[in-house]
Amino acid sequence: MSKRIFITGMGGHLGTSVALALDERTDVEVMGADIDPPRRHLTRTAFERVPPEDSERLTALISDFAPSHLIHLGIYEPHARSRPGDAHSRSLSATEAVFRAAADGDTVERVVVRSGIEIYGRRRGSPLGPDEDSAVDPTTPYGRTLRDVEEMARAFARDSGASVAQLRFAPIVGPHIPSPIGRYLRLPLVPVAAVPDLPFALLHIDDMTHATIAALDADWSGPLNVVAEGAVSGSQAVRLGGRIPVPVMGPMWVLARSITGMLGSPLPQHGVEMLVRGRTADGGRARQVLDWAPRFSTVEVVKDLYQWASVVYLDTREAA
Amino acid sequence: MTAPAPHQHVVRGLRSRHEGSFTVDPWGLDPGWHSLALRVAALRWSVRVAGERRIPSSGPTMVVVNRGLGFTEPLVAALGIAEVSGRPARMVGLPDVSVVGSLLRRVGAVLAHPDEVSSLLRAGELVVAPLQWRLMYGGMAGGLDLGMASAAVSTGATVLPSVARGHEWSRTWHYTLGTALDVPAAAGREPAVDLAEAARAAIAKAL
Repeated sequence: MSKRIFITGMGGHLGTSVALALDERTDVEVMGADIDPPRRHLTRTAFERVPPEDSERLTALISDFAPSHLIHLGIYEPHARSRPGDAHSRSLSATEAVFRAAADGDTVERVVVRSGIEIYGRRRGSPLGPDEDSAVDPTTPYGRTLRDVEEMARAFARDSGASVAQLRFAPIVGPHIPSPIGRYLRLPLVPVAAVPDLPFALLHIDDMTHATIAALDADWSGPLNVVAEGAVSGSQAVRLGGRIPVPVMGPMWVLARSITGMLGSPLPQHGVEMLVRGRTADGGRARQVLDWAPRFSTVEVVKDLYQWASVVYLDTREAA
Repeated sequence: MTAPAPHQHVVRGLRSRHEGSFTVDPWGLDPGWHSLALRVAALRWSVRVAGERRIPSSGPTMVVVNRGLGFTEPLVAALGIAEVSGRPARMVGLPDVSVVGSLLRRVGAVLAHPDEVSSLLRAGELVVAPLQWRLMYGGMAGGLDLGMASAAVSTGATVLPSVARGHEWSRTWHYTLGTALDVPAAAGREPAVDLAEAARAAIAKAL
């Protein structure tokens, strides 16, 4: 029997990327929903435009489709595609709808939920490189959103017996991804921590896609850290992109965030925390459980972020 | 092939900083800073190492070292190990405070947090875990933090007891690595307690 897969958050880059990978497979039937339509042409995949706040409609849509597998990517990062306040309510609303539909329908065998390594928090004295057994102690609004989402996922897994994999992704950045961190690092002058800044890990969208699809096939319930190999510091990332680092410390961050916000690149709290306090995680368990390995290192993800194709002007006179 | 002249070394280092092509590992170690710190430390301390063949060339390794009044013993251990084995030794006990903490991470220091030490060991790194404070040497050794012992047990690390001897103000220090301790195969509190006691006893005997 073919898998019936429902994808929330299909209109974002992450959702589109996963849908695109599944669109080629003939052994699955895929349907998705989001606030925006997918960013690529999908031939076999059905899509419904549903705002995440409309949890009743989303629940009904999922129930009607009767999926065997759910990929819940409808988690909204502040300043990515949503304002910080909307990001939290949209994420929770979509998550409630997903698990309500899954509980009502009784057809769902497996759920893959998007989470992030922001969930560990970076309070003073907290470790770099935590694994999945480390304490969850979020210190930013986005981290707290992820914690709430994971709590709902755990409750569903406990009540239903279905396996629910919570993929804690490192920040996903790329040249065309609406990520606040990626947008920020591409500014010509980039505020970075004045003292030696701590390392952070990133993730390439292709690796995120492969890990998500691998999690669909793996019988795993629980969190998994999905991170690229290696790390970079903020100032190093900025130099890799040929940008100018502007050292900032303490209260100067408030000014720096205001200025970058006015320039069209607002930096959420978890972004500042990452640049100042670092953010890495141990991804060994995901590699083992999912039989997956990232193809891009963190440095390669940063280099990819700065790859912009040059404009090629078409010479129509020659063609004629 | 001839080694690069010191000024070429400096130019290469500066260029890598300018281009961002240097490396920082997930715990903050910067090999360039680490190498510089070793050179500076070697101006202050001369470490004579015995038992260096006991240091595994790779794989998770925890070296437990005595500790007196200050941080000298773990520093001497980290310096001695790096000099004889070439493996960067991650000194456990970093204070997580701004500026100082960030700077020390660049040269290889890490938090005395079981999760951080476990992640280093899982990645096959070598860590230097000091015993708890003791003001006097005479056969007395503090205990090994249970969190550190748990990290070693859960990752199946090689655990080496070691002793650093010298005076705080002297340049020459003697550093001796003992034979590897038996690490219990089962994880849990009891095996960690046993390992911590074994490490303390081995070091107390050698002092």
